[in-house]
Amino acid sequence: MPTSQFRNFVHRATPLDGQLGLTHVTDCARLASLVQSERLEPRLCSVFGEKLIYLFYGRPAYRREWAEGEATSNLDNARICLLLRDDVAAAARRILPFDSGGFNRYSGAFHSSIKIADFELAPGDHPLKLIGAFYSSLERYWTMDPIKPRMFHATQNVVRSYHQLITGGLAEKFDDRCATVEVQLADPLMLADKVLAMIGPNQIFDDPVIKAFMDKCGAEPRGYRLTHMFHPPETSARLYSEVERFLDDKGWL
Amino acid sequence: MSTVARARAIALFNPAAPKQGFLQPVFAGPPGDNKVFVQSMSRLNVIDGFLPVDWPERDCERFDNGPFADVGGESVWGFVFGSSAPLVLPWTHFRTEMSKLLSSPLLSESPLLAFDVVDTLDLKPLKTEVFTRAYQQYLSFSREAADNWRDRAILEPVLAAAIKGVKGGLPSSDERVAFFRARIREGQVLIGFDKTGGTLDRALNNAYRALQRNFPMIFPRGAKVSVQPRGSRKVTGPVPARIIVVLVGRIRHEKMQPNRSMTMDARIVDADHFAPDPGAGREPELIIVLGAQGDATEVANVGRRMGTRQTILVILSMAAPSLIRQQELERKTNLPTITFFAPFATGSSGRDPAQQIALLVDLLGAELKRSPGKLPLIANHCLLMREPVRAKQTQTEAAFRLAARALRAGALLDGSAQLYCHDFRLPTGCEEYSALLDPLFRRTHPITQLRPVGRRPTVLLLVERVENAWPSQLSRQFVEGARRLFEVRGWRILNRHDNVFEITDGQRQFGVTILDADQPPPRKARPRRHPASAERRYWWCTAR
Repeated sequence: MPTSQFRNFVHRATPLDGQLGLTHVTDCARLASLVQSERLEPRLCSVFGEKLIYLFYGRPAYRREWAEGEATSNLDNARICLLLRDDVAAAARRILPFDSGGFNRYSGAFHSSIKIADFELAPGDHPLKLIGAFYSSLERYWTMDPIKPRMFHATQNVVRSYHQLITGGLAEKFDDRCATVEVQLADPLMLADKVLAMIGPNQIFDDPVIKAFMDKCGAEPRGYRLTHMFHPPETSARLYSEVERFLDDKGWL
Repeated sequence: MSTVARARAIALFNPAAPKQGFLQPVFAGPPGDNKVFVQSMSRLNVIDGFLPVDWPERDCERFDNGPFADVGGESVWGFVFGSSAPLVLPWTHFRTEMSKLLSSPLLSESPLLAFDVVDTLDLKPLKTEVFTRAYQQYLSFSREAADNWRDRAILEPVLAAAIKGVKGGLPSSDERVAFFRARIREGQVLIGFDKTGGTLDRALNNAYRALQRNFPMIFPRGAKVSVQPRGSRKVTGPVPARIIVVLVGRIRHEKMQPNRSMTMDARIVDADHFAPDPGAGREPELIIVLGAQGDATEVANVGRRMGTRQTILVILSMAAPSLIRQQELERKTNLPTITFFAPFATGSSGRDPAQQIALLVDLLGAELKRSPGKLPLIANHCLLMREPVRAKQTQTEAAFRLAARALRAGALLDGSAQLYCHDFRLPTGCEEYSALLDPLFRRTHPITQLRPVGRRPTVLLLVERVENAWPSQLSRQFVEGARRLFEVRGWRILNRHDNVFEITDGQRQFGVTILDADQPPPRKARPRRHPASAERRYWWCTAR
């Protein structure tokens, strides 16, 4: 039986004003099916044993292992990022304060009694509430600079553990995925009126099919120059920079 | 890195890649060596060495007569255009051939790929045409998309290079060069950068003018370069409030609609979520730590966390206060306190406590305005009493009842006091209330009119509270206070012996004995009625 400690803590928080949108990162290879179906389809998740779509709040925190290890020139392996409207979070199946795929690594730093379900937000609570509970501004969330120091009661051990996780207060250190709000959707997401922008290599926006899709969504293309040889995980850093730039241009960050 | 110094291009990797774009050349080492290699480059045009790779042959598209390449020599590049044969050539030759191909109609439908190629290979003669076509491609999405792309893809790299080129300027490794921002808006080139100066400004202006000359279709003529520090990014957190109300204990669980009631520059936060954060923007002028009487200890604890910030502890009380509890609270904290009698603020009546809190905030906000930077309290420990004025009630009755409740709760007779009210029935303001209470308390300021909260007129009394008094002292004070109240009420005292009064209202005479509630009333002094519910602590005896 999961404890309601964390969800109650977040539920009572004041959501921050503003918005950052949600990100969905995938490979260019999936572009064809995405623009054809005009929706994101849930895929089987081994952690929760159900079909889910994974989104992150603000930061494009998704990573995929690149087994090949070498640079490539194959456009299919370049990463794209869809920036989705804030209200997509309203359809969340569950919201967690970190990348659930990394929980097995974080949990080693927690007490063994703490389970992933202990960190789920209450239904209806928006990521901005969670951010309001731990950060003084959206910019601080973006730069992973939580409010500190904080004092927690002995009975707030789950909250304290999370705060230690995001402030680097645990013996083991983790990357930004430990502090990025994860939003899971169980139903297909129709993209028509949900996409704010798509970030991807410049050349994908030469494609008339993608242009038609973007026009239909009213989404802004944010192209980046793909180097002639690239290492796909490194394009993740490029996505970060482009998302930050988008939020900056919008005045949201 | 291998020891191979010379290798020959024999294949291109990733034949399944899209039909147009760069491809990775694969090299074979000396005869007899079955390994395949890729070139390693720290600069685009020079090979640093050869790296062995273990790629399956099926993923490599072989060709004959590929160029040889040497460590320290020119790099080899590959590119494919649709169904035509791939181009695999050393750097210099490759750039020449690519320039020819880019001028042909082959890439006309891929203006953004052409941009990547020209930008990567730095093909200067083609830049004006190819960059303009790329800009127009984004323009076909929207002006905003095109301008945003132009600023990121062309403007910023050129201006960053200009900064690096300034003599005595910043080294290129400086983060400020890597992360500076530039955008063109409303005829201005806005550059976010933490360093300015004559040489730098000139370099940036020159760089922009060169861009405008080279790309007249992309960059607006006459735009002025304006360099501003980057630190002035908009704060997206909660708007800093003058007053922050920190909720402690059970009141946090009440359902509140603070936005409906709070018109002051104030914010209500849960104690769990209030962590003083000096870097978060403007500091509040006042922090009110607020909780129910049963949570007084926690209120004191949270108050301590506020450090040196101007803080007042507010205890919401639903019933007559226990002075023992108050004194316990005072022992736990040096912070000023207000005991606020707000029966609906902490109960389960279903009423929104935010309305009561809004009253408190309005009141303290008015005091902050009166004395900026000072603690908005008339004494270190105060009581706040609220008296809604009923429709048929006169000002005298309301003031009488308010003062009686205050005395009973431990208000200091002749102590400092301040009155606040909103009574739309009084064309002359609320001075009537003030005059009625002046015989009991020492008013520090003229009465303060508050904005209406709710439908009823309301009068509030903030008054100094008795500290460290013996019960007998409290009793004596109350009896004296009662005497003055009779006079406020318009009753004349005919005789008095200790706590026994003979009074008249001009028509009838009354005998009144005031007793402490802890003592049983004398048999002959059984009350027939209570003059007011607030005086339950004392027995008021009957009319003759």
